[in-house]
Amino acid sequence: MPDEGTPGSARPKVAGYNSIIGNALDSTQVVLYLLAALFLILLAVMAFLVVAGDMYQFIGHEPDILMIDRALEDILIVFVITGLIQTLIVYIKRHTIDPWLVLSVGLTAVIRRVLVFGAESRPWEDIALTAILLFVIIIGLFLVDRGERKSGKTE
Amino acid sequence: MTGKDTNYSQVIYTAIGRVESAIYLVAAIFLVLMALISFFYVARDLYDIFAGTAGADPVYAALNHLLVVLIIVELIQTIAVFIQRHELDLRLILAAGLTAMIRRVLLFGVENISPVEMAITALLVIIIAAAIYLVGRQKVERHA
Repeated sequence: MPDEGTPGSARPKVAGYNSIIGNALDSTQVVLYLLAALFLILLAVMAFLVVAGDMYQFIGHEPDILMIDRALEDILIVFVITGLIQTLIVYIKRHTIDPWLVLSVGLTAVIRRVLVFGAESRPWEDIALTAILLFVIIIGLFLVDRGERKSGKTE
Repeated sequence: MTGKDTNYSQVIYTAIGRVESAIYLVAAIFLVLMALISFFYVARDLYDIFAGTAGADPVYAALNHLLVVLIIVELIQTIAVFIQRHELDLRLILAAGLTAMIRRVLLFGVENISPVEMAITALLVIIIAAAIYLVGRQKVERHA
């Protein structure tokens, strides 16, 4: 993850009305992101309930490893949610979206699909598309990293 | 942005950061429980092998269940790294994906799989391995 810098340092100061409007919009954006974070926290709690429901199947049912696979698939949703919360934290700190973090969330979501492939038989087209998706995300991560490195050199 | 706003932002992101760590902690507890349940399956498979009541391929079943434990351990490690350093270690998540694919490869020895499916699985394994290499290299360069 890149250096997160000083809070609020990314936005330059503008004088006059533009400054008032800009600051008001900035504050609104932070409030919106805060609300999004609250909803994401609620979603994480719901996801935990789903995982608990999956694991409850272990009691009173014929034990089956598919139950653990389902629970793993559902707990990776929590990883995706926390990745998005991390993106919001970085936004509130630096006032910019970190593309590396967004792509990391995408990668976690793809790996969630890959975990399912290990457990149950899926059509090969599905696996092929997932492989392409993973490849594209990795290329994205590589390009973002290279871009950040280049802009770091020019600064 | 004024100093007051910066203070508010700091309070907000510190609070959200703490909630995020708490979410990861609960996820870790669930994962530990899952690992214990998976060990129960492995123990049952081993018991079946010794008792002679196992199905067609008991060793495959035990290995399959043990690989689930490995996936869970990799995810627990991801959480441990996050709580320590506040960064998502993509290599560990990719390693969990690679273990899941190895689980699929194990299936090839038991079931009849079409060559296309095998080729696509191989492609996915190569892509994950390349991803681990690339992400690892970027990480080393970022920390250098």
